[in-house]
Amino acid sequence: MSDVVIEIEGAKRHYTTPAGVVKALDGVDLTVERGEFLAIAGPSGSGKSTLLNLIGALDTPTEGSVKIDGTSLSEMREKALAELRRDRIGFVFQAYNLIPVLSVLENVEYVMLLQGKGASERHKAAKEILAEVGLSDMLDRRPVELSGGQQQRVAVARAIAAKPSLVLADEPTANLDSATGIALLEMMQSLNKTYNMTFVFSTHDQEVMARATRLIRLRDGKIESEERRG
Amino acid sequence: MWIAILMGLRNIRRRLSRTLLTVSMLAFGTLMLVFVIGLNEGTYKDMIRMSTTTWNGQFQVLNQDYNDSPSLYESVENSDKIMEQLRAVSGVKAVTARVETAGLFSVDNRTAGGQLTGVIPEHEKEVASLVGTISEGSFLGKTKDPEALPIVLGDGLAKRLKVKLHGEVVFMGQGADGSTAAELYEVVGLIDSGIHEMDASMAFIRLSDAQELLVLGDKVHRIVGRVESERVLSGLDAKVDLPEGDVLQTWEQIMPEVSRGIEQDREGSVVILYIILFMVVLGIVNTLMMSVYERTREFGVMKALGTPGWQIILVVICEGAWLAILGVGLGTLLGTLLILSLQDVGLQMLDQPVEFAGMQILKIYPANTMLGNVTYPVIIAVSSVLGSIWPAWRASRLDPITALREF
Repeated sequence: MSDVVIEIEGAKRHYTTPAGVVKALDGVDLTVERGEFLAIAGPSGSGKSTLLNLIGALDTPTEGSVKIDGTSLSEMREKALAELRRDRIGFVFQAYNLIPVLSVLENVEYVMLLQGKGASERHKAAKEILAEVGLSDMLDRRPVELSGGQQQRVAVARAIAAKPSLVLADEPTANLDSATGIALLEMMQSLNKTYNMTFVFSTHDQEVMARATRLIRLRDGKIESEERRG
Repeated sequence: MWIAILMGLRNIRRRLSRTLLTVSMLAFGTLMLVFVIGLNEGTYKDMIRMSTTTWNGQFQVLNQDYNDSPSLYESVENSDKIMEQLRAVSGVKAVTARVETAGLFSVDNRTAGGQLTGVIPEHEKEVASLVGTISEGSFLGKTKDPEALPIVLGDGLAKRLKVKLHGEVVFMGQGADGSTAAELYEVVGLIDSGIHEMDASMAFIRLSDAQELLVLGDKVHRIVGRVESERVLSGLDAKVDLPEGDVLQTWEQIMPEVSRGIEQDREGSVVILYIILFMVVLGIVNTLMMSVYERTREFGVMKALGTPGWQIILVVICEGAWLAILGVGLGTLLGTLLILSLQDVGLQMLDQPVEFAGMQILKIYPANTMLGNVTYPVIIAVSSVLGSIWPAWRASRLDPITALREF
């Protein structure tokens, strides 16, 4: 498998509104390699979420191309995009977004269930990853019974349980206190190293930016600056 | 599939008050339908029972042309052998034979037309409840004059002839050989069946007396019988060896107006089903639409994680199915129990009893039936599930980006 996970060339995403055309992304080129811990920063309206939506195969560009693991998203239909998200991408949302009627274990197993994996394989993988995020004793709890930090750890476990190429995290620390946020970041860094999994964050959090191996700043739908560390 | 079933069940537990409301609505609608159909079916059963037990029986053996053109000559031969065969069939409760003719009844200078029926008194009592409506005297019991032949008159006919118990009546008709059939009888009983037409024209003599009077030998016009249950009637004709030209007819063929009336009424009751279906489907759609609307973000997450549309449809349909199972199941159970509790004691729907053929109808006795307790509830449940398709489809079509922005 190529070491390039994300390949974006001249990506534009324009929206037509009654007030005129909104250029949410206006010509972005970006290549992300396997194992990167990349942060995308920028003020509100800079295009962070739009870029993350394109990378996450939730949206397609108006112009340009987006490739995930060498697969171009432009020509893909909805079903194929859903399969790509299921098999290659893990999501961590700002508001955790666990499925409330499922237990911790079932939430982590969910994506593997969609992939058609057998029960014993799912249980084993989910329990292992929940042990890594320190939630082995909460397998049967419902999301509502967990703290925000615990819910976000479950969300991370769900995102990585099926071993995707890429984990997208949209402001993952925004709803957490700083200590919990740092603990979560440390955990994600550890998982990034353990599994050589690519993490892409959209963030305002200085702590996330400080720990990123690469920091990209967006402004008005364009990359304003890029900074590599380490 | 199991995850959809599980999520469906857990989701309906999430909003317990709304679930209870929807389940109650479904249960109440189903209970109403089961009970109303139970009352209707109970009434039909009573109608059939009264129509068959009064006089006509549940089956008859007769010449195939007799009902269309009753004639002295369209008779059944070997009636004893046929009755013997019928009595040997398991589930046949009673069998009797009749001879019928029309003629003139005279008392002094008064004359009235009427129908004379020759019956076997001891067997007739087991078949026709009409026999039990004797208001005076006995049903073909002993005469005062040992030489006289007994006759029982409808009290209306007796009034027309101004004859009382133990009075003499002359019948005049035609015999099968073309001769004049005339005989003098002593009135030994009067019948007040409550059916005006019958009371005004009917008269009964012993079968053997009628066969002799009409020169019929051992021929009869009808063999009438009763069975333990409707099931016995099916295939009964194949169990007896009938002479050519004779047929065995069930009550539905003998009284097509009764079965047609019941069928028409059943068709009318479908309107109740439609009303309840409309109410129930609207309730289900409303509940699930609310549920889908409230969980827009959740469905957005499921789509973002790669859940295919059909699986989201399945989750919502399973919610509808659970509501249907609980609501319709509860309604059917309560309806069935209510009918069971009333089927023997009856439900008083009338202020005054209605008399019919010697039977008083004051109550309706509801009955559990396949139609009311199984078919209609299944239709409601299936319709509820079908009603959940629209909200389910809406959920599956949500755009994940838009849905994820919802709070």
